[in-house]
Amino acid sequence: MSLFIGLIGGVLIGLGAVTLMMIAGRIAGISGIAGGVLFPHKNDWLWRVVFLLGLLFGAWLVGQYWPAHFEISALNNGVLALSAFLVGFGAILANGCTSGHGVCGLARMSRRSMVAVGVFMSVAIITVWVVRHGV
Amino acid sequence: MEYKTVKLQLGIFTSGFFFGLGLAIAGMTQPSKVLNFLDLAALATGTWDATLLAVLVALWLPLLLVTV
Repeated sequence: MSLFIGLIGGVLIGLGAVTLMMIAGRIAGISGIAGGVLFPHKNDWLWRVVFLLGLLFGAWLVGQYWPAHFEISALNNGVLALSAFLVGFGAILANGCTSGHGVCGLARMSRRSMVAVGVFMSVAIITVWVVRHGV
Repeated sequence: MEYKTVKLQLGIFTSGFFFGLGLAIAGMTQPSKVLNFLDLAALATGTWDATLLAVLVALWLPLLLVTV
């Protein structure tokens, strides 16, 4: 069941990414889009806000029916802030985040994205292993 | 580049809407699901969560439909 709704969700995510590419010629990298809202370039702000509002609205709608899909993290705020900082920093260094490289990049067969996804997946797998099971 | 027409902005909003809808439906808003995908030790115990993999595979479908 979880796999089936994963497939449905994946199709919708792909639809969102493809339509953004068709309509605006933009890559749907969420952290990059959000970064451009915080640090705007001239005439490059409104579409980002509009896209993120759509994203939040879609997620909010699902939350109305499936509140379990929005769990509260057990981590304290300091750890969350540090993690978020590392994610943001890494996304800038790698020229993209999970969505930019993993969703759009892989689908465009970008070699840079394949490397990025390979690296962040491997490091994440190792990190989870060490945290949950020790070295 | 700024997208001036309301029609374009509505389109961009809809793209974001689909993206957010998909993420939340698939449960990719739950850190535990992502962590259970990354936990390869769970392969041995049968508790591995393949949802993220299903998401990554399925999102190719709209792209293939558009490009082919």
